[in-house]
Amino acid sequence: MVSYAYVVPLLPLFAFGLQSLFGRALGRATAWVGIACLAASTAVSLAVLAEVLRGAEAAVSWPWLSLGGATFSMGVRVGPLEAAMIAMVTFVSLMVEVYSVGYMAGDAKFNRFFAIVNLFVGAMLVVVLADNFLLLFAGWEIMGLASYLLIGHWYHDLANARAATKSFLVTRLGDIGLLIGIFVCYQAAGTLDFAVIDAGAASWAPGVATLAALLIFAGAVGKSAQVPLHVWLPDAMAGPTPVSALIHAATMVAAGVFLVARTYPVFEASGTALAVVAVVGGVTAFLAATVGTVQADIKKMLAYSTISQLGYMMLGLGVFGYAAALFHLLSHAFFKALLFLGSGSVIHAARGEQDMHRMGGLFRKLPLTGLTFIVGGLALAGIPPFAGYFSKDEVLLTAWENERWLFWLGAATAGITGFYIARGIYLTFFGRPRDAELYTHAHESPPVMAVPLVVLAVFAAFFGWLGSASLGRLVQAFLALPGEAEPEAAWYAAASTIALAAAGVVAGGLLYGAARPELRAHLVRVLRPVYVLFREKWYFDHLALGATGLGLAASAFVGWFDRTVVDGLVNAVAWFTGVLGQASRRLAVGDAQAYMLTMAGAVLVGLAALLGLGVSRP
Amino acid sequence: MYNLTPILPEMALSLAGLALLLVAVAPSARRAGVAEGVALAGLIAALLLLPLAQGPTAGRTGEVLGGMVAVDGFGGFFRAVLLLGALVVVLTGARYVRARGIAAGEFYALLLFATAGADFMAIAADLLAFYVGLETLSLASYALAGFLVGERWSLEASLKYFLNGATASALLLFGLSLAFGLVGTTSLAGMAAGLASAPWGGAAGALPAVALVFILAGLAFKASVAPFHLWTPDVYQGAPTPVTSFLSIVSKGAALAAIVRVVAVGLAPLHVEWQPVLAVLAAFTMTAGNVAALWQKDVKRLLAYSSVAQAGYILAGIAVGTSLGLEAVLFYVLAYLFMNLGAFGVVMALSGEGEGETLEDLAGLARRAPVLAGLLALFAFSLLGIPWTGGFVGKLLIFEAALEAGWAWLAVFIAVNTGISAYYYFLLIRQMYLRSAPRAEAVRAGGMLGAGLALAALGVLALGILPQTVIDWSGLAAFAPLP
Amino acid sequence: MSLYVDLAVFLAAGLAFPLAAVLVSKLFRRDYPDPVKEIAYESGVLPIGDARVRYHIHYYIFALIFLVFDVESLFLFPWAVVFRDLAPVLALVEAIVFIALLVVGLVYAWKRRVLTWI
Repeated sequence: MVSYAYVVPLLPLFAFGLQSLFGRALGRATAWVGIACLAASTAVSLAVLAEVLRGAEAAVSWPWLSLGGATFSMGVRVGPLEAAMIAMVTFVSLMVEVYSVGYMAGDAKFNRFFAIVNLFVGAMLVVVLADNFLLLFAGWEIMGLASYLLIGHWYHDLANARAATKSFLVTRLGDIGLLIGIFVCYQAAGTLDFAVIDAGAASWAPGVATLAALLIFAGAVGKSAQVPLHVWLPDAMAGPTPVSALIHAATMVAAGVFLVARTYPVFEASGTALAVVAVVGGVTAFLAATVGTVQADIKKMLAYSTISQLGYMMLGLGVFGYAAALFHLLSHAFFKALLFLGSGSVIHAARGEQDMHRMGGLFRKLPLTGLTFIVGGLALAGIPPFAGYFSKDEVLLTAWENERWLFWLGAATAGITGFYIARGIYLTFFGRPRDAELYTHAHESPPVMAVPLVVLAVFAAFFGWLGSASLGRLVQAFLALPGEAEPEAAWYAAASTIALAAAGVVAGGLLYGAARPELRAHLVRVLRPVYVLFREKWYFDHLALGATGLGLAASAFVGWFDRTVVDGLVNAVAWFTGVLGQASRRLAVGDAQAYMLTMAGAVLVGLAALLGLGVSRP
Repeated sequence: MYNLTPILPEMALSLAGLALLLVAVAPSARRAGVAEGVALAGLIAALLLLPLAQGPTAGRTGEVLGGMVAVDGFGGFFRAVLLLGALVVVLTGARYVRARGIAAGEFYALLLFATAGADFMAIAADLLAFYVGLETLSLASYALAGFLVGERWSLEASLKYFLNGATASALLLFGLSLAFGLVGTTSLAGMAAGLASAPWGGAAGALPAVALVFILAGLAFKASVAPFHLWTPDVYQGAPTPVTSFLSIVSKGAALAAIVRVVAVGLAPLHVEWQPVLAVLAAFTMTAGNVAALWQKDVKRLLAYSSVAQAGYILAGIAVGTSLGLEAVLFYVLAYLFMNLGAFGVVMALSGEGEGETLEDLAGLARRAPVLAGLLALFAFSLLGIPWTGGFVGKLLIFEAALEAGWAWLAVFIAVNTGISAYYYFLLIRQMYLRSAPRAEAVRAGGMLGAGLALAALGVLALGILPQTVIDWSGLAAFAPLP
Repeated sequence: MSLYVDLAVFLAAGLAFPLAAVLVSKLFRRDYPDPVKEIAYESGVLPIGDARVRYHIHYYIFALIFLVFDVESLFLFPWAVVFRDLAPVLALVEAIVFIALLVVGLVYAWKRRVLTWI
């Protein structure tokens, strides 16, 4: 089975083909075509995982293009990392797609939605399974494209189309870095095959490895929404909620973390690069969590929580916690998908309302959604025995061993995480209903949406146990690199994390569940500077806006230069040459004479360059 | 008596062109249909005669017709590209020509003459043959650009093109005469040999470089290489869209082939000079094209700047100066043929109905014409270099060539430019897929237009998914004309 | 170098000769201007209006077609001179092809009423 792993991405892509060609004929059945293919893909993935668990590995490759010195091939490679990833991606995507049948039921572009979701999942699986940079980059690009269309799905609202463009362009910045990083690897290794790059990276010149790793990391920063390229992710919440669950929890944002894991030997060859990864991850985790505390929009809160959790994963990778980071990647996929789908269920019930301040008391109306959401929330907060606790704990323990201050940053983040998720849960599900009309009309979601919630909740609750010390750290042992040491259990470190997380949850619960609103208002007044800083997202959007503005200004300058300086120069030349200028003006065909004079100028520059700069020949 | 077999395709084109002149004045009610038929027949005949003209053994090199033309794989490949390009232009443009009431006989006659001229540029082994080909192409193009008689922009485009083109020709001729004066022969091979053994020193030592600059200037104009590209958007916008399409591929393709022939082969001993010059021009061209494209509201202007940028990528492959670079160029030109003609074909499908001129006209196209929108998306993706399209593989090969020859900075430039270009190609996608349509009526594209678009789409996908098959089948790797 | 000296001498002589002729006639002629003598010479016909007039664009095509046939004769004349030395049938065929090409152009121009004076 394991050597047939390549059908895993092909099945969703096949479904995409069917859906886009016969979407009209299939009608509503389009969704089920996609789900059937994805289910088959999931089954294959699980079978592959089962075999890999027993020690099987496989690498299949076909030559694709060969011209000149290099041969480019298309192939898949299946090891523990890939097997675990495809199982997670197909499974979570399947859940999301089933859920979407209910969530998107009334949508005018129902068919298109499902087709693109399948394209997206197929591309993500290509990224995971690719055995070389070329194929990985191919999947990476297609994934970006599909996410663009999904985020902009509800484009009748102009803001959504704008958000899609923003997300695409920001991730694109990172992609340029990735592409150049691939060049560096190609120059250094002479091939794009991961196997060769992995084997040789340790012997590259340190500068080369650092350069390659940092450029690749730029791509990961873009896709995984790390500081400072994180600005696109909260805006990307404009897409339908299942899209958020899919793209912003389980797949696309995880691809950045996966990319670092995939090219880990290159990072290991450079201490600098790993340090950068760790610091960027830690800082991102902290900043995003603080911003999460002041969000009113339930999805925006979850978006910042995603950025924060991805920061944890990067932090883990940066401090040599390869297995820990991937463990967190997997458990996060389950509980974050659950949280997003839960929030979708709430939004569905609230008929599109996303502001938590207008909700409240919904637990009575949505008991199932509420219950599963709380399970997801506790997993996110890292309260034992839910999944997030084990994986986050593992990451923080590794940080404790390697970089003490990053541990404290992460532990503080854990506290803040507990606070904001408790706040979110209380605002949404408990307290008095703040909007009577919304409350009266709220109703539990249909079974097609409820079942995925329950399934994911089970995983969010229990998946972590597989990595617990008492069960022999199964997940970490499975994923660990050869020779990777497991972090020593430092009970005081673990205890302080749990204590901080619990304190956060309790504080959030007390402040939003028990305390009177006046107290909150008072706190906001007292902590005004901090509050404003968080609300303004540490001014990163301004920074990004400034950078974009700078870019636009630069290109506007080029345009202005074309019009003014070039023309001005031309006019000056015309004036200077008097009669000739008058004669050329008489042509009076717009700018044609300016074009000609530019050509003449270019010829002069060329002559000056070749003769003046002294191309001296023997 | 010379053996005329090697130029049979061009003879077929010329005959068809002459026949079209007679069609133009024949009393006929269905003139446009007959003219299309004759033009297509001429082009297909030329394509069918091409293997015969190339001779029994592909890749055989030899100069025929008194050393005027070279029968080699490179020339054969480019002739195939140019003929195929003209064929797709006729297929996709026919509806536009009818809809705008363009005089079909003269239009297609000039198109075929221009194609024959372009062919000669691609196979020229002598400066004279090259220059005659260039002028045949140019004069016909000037007239073609002004074919929308009575439309101000078309006439202005024609005049601008002519004035600038004449200047560029003058620069080119000056350079050619200098080169001739240096070596005393018009044969390209003789020129290379002469320059290789020419004494370098004293004041005369600068002359080859001067000749190089002037020759490059003239060719850069035709290929829309910045800063000689300023005419491009004006002319592309004003000219009838089939002509724009023709200029963007046949005229530009011939100019790029000529750069390889005249500069990379004829001036091969000067590679120390022209490699950096071409590399800088390439970097400048792609940047100028992409940055300017960001601001365009008019689809044809946008595609004009896009094609400027594309020329930059291709030029980078030539600048690299290795045979791998040249193979990458050939592959890219083939991919560019399909994707650019396809994009213009979709624009023509719309503009034949009197729209499709501005980006706003594309709004919501996915609802009105899902197939057309999908095709334009495919072509835009290919121009951008999204995987599994011909453009992606072309860029990949150019990257590979640049990195292997140690031109890493050029590769980085292309990478960054690809990033910039994503913005405006996605503007097209966004208009079609993430906008509501201002009107509801569907756009149809059947018949010849549909066939042309299908051919282009097939080409883009075949080159993207099965590049090796295409490479093996065309024997592309054996085509390098480098000494 | 001596080649350039020759060229310069040739150039100087070429310029000097007509200039000298004009100068000599200017020096030795008697100068009695009157209005009739001042009229521009147009083969004996009285000129009407200014010499700088706008004439029809069609005239350009006339000139072009004239030029084409002018060049045609330029090619045919040497062909006729050496005809005996060429392979006669082949040479004849070649010339006929050449003329046929131009005839097509002429037919086109004729049918397009280019030859009609406006």
